[in-house]
Amino acid sequence: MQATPPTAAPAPSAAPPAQDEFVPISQLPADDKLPAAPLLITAYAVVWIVLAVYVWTLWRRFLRAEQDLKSLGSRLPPGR
Amino acid sequence: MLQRSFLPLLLGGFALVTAAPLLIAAAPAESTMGLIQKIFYFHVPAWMAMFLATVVCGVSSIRYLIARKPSSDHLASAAAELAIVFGLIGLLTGPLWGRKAWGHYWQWDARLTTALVLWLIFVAYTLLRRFGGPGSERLAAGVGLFGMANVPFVYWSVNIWRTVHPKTSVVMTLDPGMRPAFYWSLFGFLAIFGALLAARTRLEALRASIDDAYLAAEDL
Amino acid sequence: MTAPGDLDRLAFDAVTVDYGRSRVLSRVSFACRAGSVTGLFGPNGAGKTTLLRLAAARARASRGRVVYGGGLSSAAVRGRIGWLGHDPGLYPELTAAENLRFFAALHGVSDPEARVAEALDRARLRDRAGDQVGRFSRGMRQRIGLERALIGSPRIVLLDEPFTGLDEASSEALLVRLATLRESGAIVLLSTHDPARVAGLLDAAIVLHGGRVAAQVPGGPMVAAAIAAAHASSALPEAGPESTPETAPKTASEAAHAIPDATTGSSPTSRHDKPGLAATAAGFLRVAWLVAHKDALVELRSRELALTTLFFAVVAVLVFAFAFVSDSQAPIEAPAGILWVTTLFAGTLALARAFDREQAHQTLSALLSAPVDRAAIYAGKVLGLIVLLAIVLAIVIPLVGLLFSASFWRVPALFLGIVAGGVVGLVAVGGLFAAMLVRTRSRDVLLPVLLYPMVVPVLLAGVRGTAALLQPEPDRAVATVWLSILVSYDTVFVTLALWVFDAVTAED
Repeated sequence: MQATPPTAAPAPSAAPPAQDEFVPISQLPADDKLPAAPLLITAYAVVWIVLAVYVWTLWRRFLRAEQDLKSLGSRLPPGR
Repeated sequence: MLQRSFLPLLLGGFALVTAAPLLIAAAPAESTMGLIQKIFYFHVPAWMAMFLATVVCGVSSIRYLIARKPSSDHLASAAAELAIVFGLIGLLTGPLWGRKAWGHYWQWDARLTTALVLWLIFVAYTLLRRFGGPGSERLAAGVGLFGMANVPFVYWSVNIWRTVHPKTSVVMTLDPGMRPAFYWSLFGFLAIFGALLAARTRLEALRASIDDAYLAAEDL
Repeated sequence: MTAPGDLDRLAFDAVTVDYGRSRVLSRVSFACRAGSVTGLFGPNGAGKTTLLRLAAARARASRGRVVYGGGLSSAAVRGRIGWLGHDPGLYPELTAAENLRFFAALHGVSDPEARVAEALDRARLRDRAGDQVGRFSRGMRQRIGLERALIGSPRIVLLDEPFTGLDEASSEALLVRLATLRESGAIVLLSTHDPARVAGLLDAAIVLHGGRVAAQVPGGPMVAAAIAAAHASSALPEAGPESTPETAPKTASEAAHAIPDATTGSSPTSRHDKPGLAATAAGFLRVAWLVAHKDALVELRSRELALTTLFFAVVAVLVFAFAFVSDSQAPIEAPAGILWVTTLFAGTLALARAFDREQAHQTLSALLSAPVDRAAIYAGKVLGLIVLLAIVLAIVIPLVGLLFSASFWRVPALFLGIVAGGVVGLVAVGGLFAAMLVRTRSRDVLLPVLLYPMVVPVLLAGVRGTAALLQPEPDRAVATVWLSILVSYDTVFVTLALWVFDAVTAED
């Protein structure tokens, strides 16, 4: 069983029937010319960037909390 | 704090995602969409992580409203933030897929709209926590509960409005060749989700304990 | 039914209150007995108001606890507390008599008319009973406010700066009134800046400084001097928070024979009985109706909400005309969207203002401290807002129909059902959020931020259902589907809101 998600979609990029002529690329509809690889790579980069940015903010918030804790410790008298 | 107990899990999760391309690349290309369909392998797991986050947030909110235990509140606020993070991944990768498959970045389709609305609810929740000031925990819990109750209605109404998106059943009927890559990727996302959720909850607890320490210092 | 003498003590047991990272009260301990007047003194920010709110079960202690005589819980004790804050907690648009009648009804007073007449006499305002409170002087409002606080014959009377803005005669009258309250066995706790004025009345004085008890002074002629001394050398260590001397009643017999009602013989209806389901439902509807009726009366006098909301709605319609009309015609479905976006915007405005108004005059506190089901208060507010929006829509719908040549009414029952379902859903969720946010920072921006994503199903169903009816041939089947979504949404969210209202708006 093949997963074929676009059946419900208008799917303008659906594979055309067997070709009987060469269509110059400049005459193809814009959507068909769209290369998939850059989109795929962008999507993959998005995953990484979003996660990395989030981890970075989390890291910074931890650092700030720890700093807060330290400055609090210096305000307390020793032994506490 | 972060590095001590969570880095291993985090590294594991990241390793999974890094390794996934090998499997994804090896998975068979889908017949009509070709290469672009491979976005599926991180688009769907991201949404699954987001829905998990919304459920965690909703359930913790109810628990907080009933028992008023601060730990439930910390968990709920951590889960809400992760719902935004994973929702953002889903919302950004989806249109890239759609650009090739449908010819448009965005379609007002049922699942897309539902996801967007749900994501907005959790953004609103986070805004309330950030700007509501002290004492807004209970209000946030109310919003978390209402947000969860709202999901079926948003889905139902938007579904009647329109449906273009592939049915969720594609995951169940996935080609055997695609399965390893998908489940590998899903496992990676869920591992990262778990690690981040634990870290974020700890941050919330740490902040609460610092607040307490400040107050204790006043008692001296 | 609880025994009359049970609420004979109010004690603070090492109470600490934190707000974020600031400590408002720190290990405060003291106790008051029935038939005593205790004064709270201290500079601004010392924690006097917080302490009073705590006593009124309107704030929660972060640590320690407030103990009521007879081991009553704070919820059970709520209806037996009379509270008067800086603001008298009255509706300026209502007359003195209407205000008192409303709160008497909320407190379930058995013979409200007699009780109101008596309260007006005590306030020496019987001849002004029919005048709107907004036209009263500060002193007159404060007198009526005190009677409002005492209308349910409370056992604990909490007064926050009651002498502020009073002239000499009103102050004297208040002192006399407080003395009678003490005689009748009430516990009176009041804060003031003016020790000299109340010195003769006090049984004890507590001096707060920086959230701590700086000194406890027994009553008597020397109290003013003692308080001044405590102010000068605040935070006296020997008057430490651990000590809990009780303020003694004037005479032992007074405490022993404390009568149930603080002011009169009229006793509230048996509100501590466990009522049956039918009685509960009837009580719920009664309170909801009281609140809605009160809101209608206030609105009828001020017309503030109706006029501003209506104007806003008309301007919104105009803006949409600019956006959608070309060649003097709008697209066939545009009026549906215009109608619902206008309803949403105007509704948000009305929702925010309806609760802000209650908060501004501190009437919300007075409402929420009444011994009634808080969900009924919510239901009453929602009912009032539904009526208001219905009035606004009665003008906006024909206007949109006229300006965009849309015939909404071709299937009247379905259209009316969709409009009603949408308005109920919007106001039910919006009312809950507005009530939740009323004490929150940046509430004006947070209300739409929280509300709009949450009412997406209402908007979608409203717009699509209305659009289905605007087609050249009205699509009844589609409209019915949307109506059924609205009905389910309303059912779920009204139930949920009634269930969580108390939990999310509770101050304790």
